Amino acid sequence: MPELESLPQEVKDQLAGIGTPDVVIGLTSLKSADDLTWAADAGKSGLNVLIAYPGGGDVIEFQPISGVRLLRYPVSAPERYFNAPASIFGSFLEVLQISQRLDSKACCVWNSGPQTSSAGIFAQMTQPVLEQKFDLVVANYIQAKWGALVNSSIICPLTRALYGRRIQFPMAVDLAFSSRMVARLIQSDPGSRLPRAQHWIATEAICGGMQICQAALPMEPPRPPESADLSSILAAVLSRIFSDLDRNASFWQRSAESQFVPIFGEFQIKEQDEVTVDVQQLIETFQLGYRNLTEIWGLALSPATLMELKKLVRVSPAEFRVADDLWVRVVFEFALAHRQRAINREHLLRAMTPLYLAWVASYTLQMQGPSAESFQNRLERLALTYENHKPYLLSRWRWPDRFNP
Amino acid sequence: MWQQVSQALNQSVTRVVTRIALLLPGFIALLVALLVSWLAAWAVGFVLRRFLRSIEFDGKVARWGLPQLRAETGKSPTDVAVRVVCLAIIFIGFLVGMTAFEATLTSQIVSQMFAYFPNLIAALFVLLVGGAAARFFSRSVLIGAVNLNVQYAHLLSVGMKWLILVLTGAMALNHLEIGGKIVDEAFAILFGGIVLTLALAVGLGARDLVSRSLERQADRVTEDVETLRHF
Repeated sequence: MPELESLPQEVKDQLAGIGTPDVVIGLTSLKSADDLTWAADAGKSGLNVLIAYPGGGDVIEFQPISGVRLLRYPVSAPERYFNAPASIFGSFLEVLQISQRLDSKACCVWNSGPQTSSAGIFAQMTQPVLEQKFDLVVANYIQAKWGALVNSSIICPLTRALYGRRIQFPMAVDLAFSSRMVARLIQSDPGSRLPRAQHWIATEAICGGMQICQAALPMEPPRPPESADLSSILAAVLSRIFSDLDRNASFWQRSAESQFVPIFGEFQIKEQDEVTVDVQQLIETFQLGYRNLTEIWGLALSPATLMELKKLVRVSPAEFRVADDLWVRVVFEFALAHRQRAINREHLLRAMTPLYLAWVASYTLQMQGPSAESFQNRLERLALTYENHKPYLLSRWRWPDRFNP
Repeated sequence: MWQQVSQALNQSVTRVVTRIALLLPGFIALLVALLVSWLAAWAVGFVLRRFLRSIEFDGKVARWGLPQLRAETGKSPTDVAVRVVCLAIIFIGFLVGMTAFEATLTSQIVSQMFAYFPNLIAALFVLLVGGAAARFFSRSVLIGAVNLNVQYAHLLSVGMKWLILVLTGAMALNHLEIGGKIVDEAFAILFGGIVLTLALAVGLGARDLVSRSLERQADRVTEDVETLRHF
């Protein structure tokens, strides 16, 4: 498979005189030397570290530290990557290329803000690769009852049910790779002719038979850009994971029960009480969606699912509950419609926003109050429902024309 | 006298029969041209259908934003494309057959039709693209407005659809050279009317939306309220 080389000649010349670092750290949003105070500690660790940061801004003047070098590289292929800042994908791919060219043992891509980085965190991210031969380390952020709901309601349980790995944050943007994983990611996919790094990294690693672990970090997931609205980010994230389902169909159709993925570090949970959420508005958006988008939903959802949604429109806000099996059917049926191109994909995925908000409203109503069950139990039940409904997705995936009530 | 009447009748019948005899080869040529064009259309349609299926034309059309074609016409995009091509071939055969009459008037009509043909194709293309654009943008507006919880979402979507359809219709009529200035004026009135309606709808409908948005901005500035996070 061809590798995609986008590094300019000047960077290649610079790399020729660097030698072989143990770790390449890509700080994709580094802006000033003030964010590199931790580098002195990294230099004391005894490892040779190369910190790569994307060009575009000013050249960062850096006080030389033994064992730490700084490299600036131009971004050649700016593109949005998940909810990370713009132009991150180009940076991402080039960090991997630098790591491979230098034959480093580990590569860490840090897409969260540089102010959250520290020598300890990078050690936590790269040690499983350097010492325990893992190929991919996925950041496991602090879990919160009212946080990362797209991940909790769709991405995490879907990855678990279909690919058989319990990764808490499959859409984490802070990752560490072995040289084997780097080599795989910079190759182009024969089907899409895009670099594998542009796919969903976690599923790419699972399908490639890589050893995966999680690093529990003392930080919350990075926030999406202020300019992006929920609908567009949700559509972008779903588009990527649904496209992966299509590409990896032969893998996930064969995968069995889900397995635990090792976690390094102390797993943290943020204690949260109540939140200020206008549940009524969430329900109203769903009801408005039902009144106006039924035609579009009808192209994706089965009659039985539409009937359940119709019942939901009529219930009072206090009794508003989206059952787990209904929600799972909605997600699976949208994945199927995405595959069958029943409608323009952008429209399809954006039309899912009111349904997602219905789930959020239901979850909020269930989790509020002192008598509510723990949110981990609640999400575990949802994940099990995803696993139990996998045969439904399988059957409709294999025989899409079969009648579905 | 009866002899003169009989002679006149004979001459009349002879003239009619002669005229018919003169028209008959042209008529037969027309039938043959139609038959040949029908056979050609069938063959081209067969090959085209197989080709479009091999390149998954329906899937590509869906990607371009025209997946509703099947729902609205009851036919797949492949069927529609094959039918359009077949009808065009039969129409060309009909024109070829018409020229076989060799009548000056027929030739003039046919030459004018051929000269008009590019306009017709351009108008059809404009209608096709305009129809697709109307459907695509009206749906985009509908979904976007619903996601923003705008109560007038349907009205905005319909307004957008008719805005594009009216523009498309006026452009198509211009290409067909039908109507002249009336079309321009009617278009200006209709387009202006729809824009005014939409402006009023947005002005009235978005009032709550704007105030909610400003409230959210104010909340963000004044206090760091603990709220739920989607990502």
